[in-house]
Amino acid sequence: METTGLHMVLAVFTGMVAMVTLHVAIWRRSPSPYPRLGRLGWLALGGVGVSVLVNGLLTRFNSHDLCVVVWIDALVVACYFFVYAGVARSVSVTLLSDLLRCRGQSLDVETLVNAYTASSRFEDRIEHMRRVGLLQVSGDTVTLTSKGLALSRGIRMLSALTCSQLRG
Amino acid sequence: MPGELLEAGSIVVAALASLTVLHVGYLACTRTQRTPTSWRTSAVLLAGLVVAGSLLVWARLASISLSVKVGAVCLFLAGCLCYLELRSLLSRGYSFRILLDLMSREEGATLAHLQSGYGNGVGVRGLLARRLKTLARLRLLHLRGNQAGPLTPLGALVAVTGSLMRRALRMERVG
Repeated sequence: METTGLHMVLAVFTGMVAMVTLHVAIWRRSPSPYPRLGRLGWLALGGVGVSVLVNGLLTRFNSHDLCVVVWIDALVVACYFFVYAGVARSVSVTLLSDLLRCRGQSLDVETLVNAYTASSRFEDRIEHMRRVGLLQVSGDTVTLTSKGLALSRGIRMLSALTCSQLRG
Repeated sequence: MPGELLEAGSIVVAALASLTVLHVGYLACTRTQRTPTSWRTSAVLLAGLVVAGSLLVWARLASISLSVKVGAVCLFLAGCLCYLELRSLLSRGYSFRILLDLMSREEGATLAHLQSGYGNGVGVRGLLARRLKTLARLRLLHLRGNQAGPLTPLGALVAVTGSLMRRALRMERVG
């Protein structure tokens, strides 16, 4: 079969629709306050696999086209992760959503800040870091684990290398 | 055929490496100045580098098939997004900041201390105030004195999209 760009578009579309559909279905079935990026990574790999399979079936596994499909998938997956990071973790999106509920009215900054700090979001974040083994919580005291310390050192080194300054 | 792909791949890697070196190099050179690089200058510079890089990848692959050229530009843009996400995490990562705060306190800290001392004493309240200022600067909301809001049309669009996606994924209690 003669390969055309249409095969690739169809393959990428099918794979990415499969990824998003599974993502929404799984997340809806088992809700969690944690981002579960590892699980999403596996879903993304699955989506790329579907794209490769569809393209392979349409082009009799032409290695050239398969490679291009994977490259295009890489962009779609990177965009998806970029948006998902904002949805799952962004404090700014939370503030905007809170203001959206005011339906065009302004809100006292103090009220907005109080509503945020009164929620369990900070504790949830600490709990998530404890679950992934970065922190240790004993009683009311939080300390870094060796894994957390190594990551902190890595962050500091990477920040210096890329001339980044943590301002957030 | 594999030669074509290898050539395209190596050009993409070289373009990404150049973009990173140029961007970091610029930031390193301007870091010592009294006035730090504004977010606008940094964003314009990065956008310019991304556009220039995409054009360079396209031009360097002039003799290669269209599908490989499109794929190579997509791969380059994916790399740019990863770089952007990394920079965003390193400059605004909430959890990263908590880790660094704890790194400076070997004996650990209580939750209340972590919250009030977040970001070298800025506190979570300070973080939220800073985020509101950034949102106002990006023209997503109006901020007058102690009053936040209403949202601009762009801010409303971002808020509606974010809320809908959070609802679809049943992640209302995040962020």
